[in-house]
Amino acid sequence: MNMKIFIAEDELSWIIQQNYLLLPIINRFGLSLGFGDKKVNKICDEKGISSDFFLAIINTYHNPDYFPEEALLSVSPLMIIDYLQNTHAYYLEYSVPRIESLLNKLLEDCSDHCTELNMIESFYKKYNEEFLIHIRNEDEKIFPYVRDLHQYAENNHNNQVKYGKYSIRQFEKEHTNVDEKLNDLKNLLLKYLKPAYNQNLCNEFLFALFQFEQDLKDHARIEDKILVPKVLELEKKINNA
Amino acid sequence: MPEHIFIIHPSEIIRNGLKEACKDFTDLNITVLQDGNETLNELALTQNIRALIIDATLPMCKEILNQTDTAHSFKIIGIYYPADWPNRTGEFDMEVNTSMSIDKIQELIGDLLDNQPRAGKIESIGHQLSDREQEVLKLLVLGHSHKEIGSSLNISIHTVISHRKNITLKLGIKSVSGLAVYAIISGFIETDNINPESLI
Repeated sequence: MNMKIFIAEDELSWIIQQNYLLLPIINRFGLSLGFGDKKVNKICDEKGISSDFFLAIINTYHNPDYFPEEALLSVSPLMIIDYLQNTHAYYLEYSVPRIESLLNKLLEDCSDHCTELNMIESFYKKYNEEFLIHIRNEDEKIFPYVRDLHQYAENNHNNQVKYGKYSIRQFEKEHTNVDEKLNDLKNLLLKYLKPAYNQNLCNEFLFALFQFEQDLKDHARIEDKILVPKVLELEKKINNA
Repeated sequence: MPEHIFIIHPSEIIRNGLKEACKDFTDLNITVLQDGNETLNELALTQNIRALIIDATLPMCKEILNQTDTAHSFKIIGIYYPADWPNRTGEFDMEVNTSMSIDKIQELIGDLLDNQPRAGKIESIGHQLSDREQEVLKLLVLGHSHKEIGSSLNISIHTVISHRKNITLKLGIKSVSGLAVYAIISGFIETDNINPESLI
């Protein structure tokens, strides 16, 4: 894969031709197909999106070695939260149902000796349960907390009335367990599934898991490396107010 | 791609002494390591091993020898203390002991490496669980705590945790529920009298 860093003068249709897996990422900014020959800066201007933030996100996703911490740290936490929340919606409305439907197809195709697949399905369900709890916790508790914090910081208020001594630090370690199970699921399929199942369906299922995992890693990287330090900064500012 | 010599020994003095001795006759990358899971992991991930110089009495040494077939393309050199010095065992490509002079050790290892055409990789560090690891796996996925497993097998908690780490390293599966799926589909757990899904 071409590891070029995309710039504001690149045409968006050309960028997608370099890496079509970026399509769902740009959708999260409210951009859809039919880009014409428009360049990134023009499209971002029209939609009122920061092109620096847009480029930082797509380059981070495109190139695992690229992580513009400084550029991202200068972005408003509200913009980051909007992006993360749109990503969650994508997982809930598309990624998870797609993975489930591919797993169901595999199960439907299996006429007998399905014990292994039934075990895999139970394991997937357990993983998904934990994943949904994690997402819901972020949507319902963490993100509103950050929005409030941002507002307090703008108005020089103290946050202790509503949140006591809560800090974003408590959130930092939560990703690990969920990531671990997804990796286990992939390894169970790759290493230990007997070759008695429809290979094409198995491949489709695995492709979906790999893609989901890559997206989640990127998502976690943005949360842990960008959102958490920004929020710690806000917490410090407010506590000193 | 750079080639590597690994020196694995619990004694820091011996590790670093051997490293200095090897530096005189080779430009290869030399890594000194203590024994442990991280070491096994690092070895399994290294592509171009030219030689492994290892304390012959370490349990992991036996494991590496078991997992490495005779056609391996890198050399394994066993280090003994004089009291344990064997008549040639045939397990290693060469044995050295800690009472030998540096010159002698340099000569032996240098000659061995000169005669070795290419570097290789440890192909299969532990894809198979040992009997003890299988026992720990079974008890773990049946819901027993580390403490209970230790009591039941008459081993310390520390040893249980060490087995658990090795199991994860070998299988590539970390969570207990993932290990349960593995144990069931591999037939380690009889599912006649229990609902297998209750273990996940």
